[in-house]
Amino acid sequence: MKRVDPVTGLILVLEGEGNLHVRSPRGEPVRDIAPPPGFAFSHFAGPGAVLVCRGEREIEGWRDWQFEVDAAAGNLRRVAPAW
Amino acid sequence: MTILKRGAALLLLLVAACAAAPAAPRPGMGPAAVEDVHARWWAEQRWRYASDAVAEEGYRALLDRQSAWPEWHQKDIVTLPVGLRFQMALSPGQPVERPGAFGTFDRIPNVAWVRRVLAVKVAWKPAIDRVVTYEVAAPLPADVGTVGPQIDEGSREYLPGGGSQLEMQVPAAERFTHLKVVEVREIR
Repeated sequence: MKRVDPVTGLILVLEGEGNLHVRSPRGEPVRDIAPPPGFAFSHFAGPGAVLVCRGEREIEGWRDWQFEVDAAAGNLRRVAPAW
Repeated sequence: MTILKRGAALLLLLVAACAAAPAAPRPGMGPAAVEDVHARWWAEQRWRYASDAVAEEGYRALLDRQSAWPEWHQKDIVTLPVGLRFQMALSPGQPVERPGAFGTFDRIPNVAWVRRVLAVKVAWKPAIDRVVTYEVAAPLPADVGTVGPQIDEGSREYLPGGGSQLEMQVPAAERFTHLKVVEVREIR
């Protein structure tokens, strides 16, 4: 599964549940991003750089959450529950 | 004079009625949309609460906590038996081997039904393209009950809920080990 980060143009490649690879627009490796503690990657939530992560336990009443990818910084930010 | 007094009293009653159900604006929603969704929630849910103030607290809690369960839900963990079937709506690109936590014992006919009866906000699942029917392959602990109402602030809609709902109570990585796929079909 691939997405292009609309902000940076970096390419996000999701392989399996544990690895998000960030590549340059020319395909060169930039960095890898691990899922947040207690979560595994599942799929992209939409056309942008938002990932659904499935959780081991509830946080604020929800097990699965959407995380926004900051590809340039290599960070993930929890933004909304995932149904 | 008596007519004037009665008119003033009626006006006071009307003002009090309006004040009892305030609708504070939310980010991204115009005042008219706020009043509409608030009024629709109020019309269906107000009776559950002892007073207007408590009902308003319930409304605020729904906006803040976004619980998938109605406020009256009592957690009811049961073990779903082998052979039991349920359905789940999936996003484009979501593998059937990575199910979400929620399913329904109702038949899912289309995306609009998912939004309205399963009360799935657009923000929670921006796109839906398939329905998968799962069958329980190994006993599966799940909370079961009725879908609670939601306020979808993005689409400015009141989602009444009311469908059946299950929430798997196992870690995400274990969900699919309890399931097998019976059918996958596209919906719009």
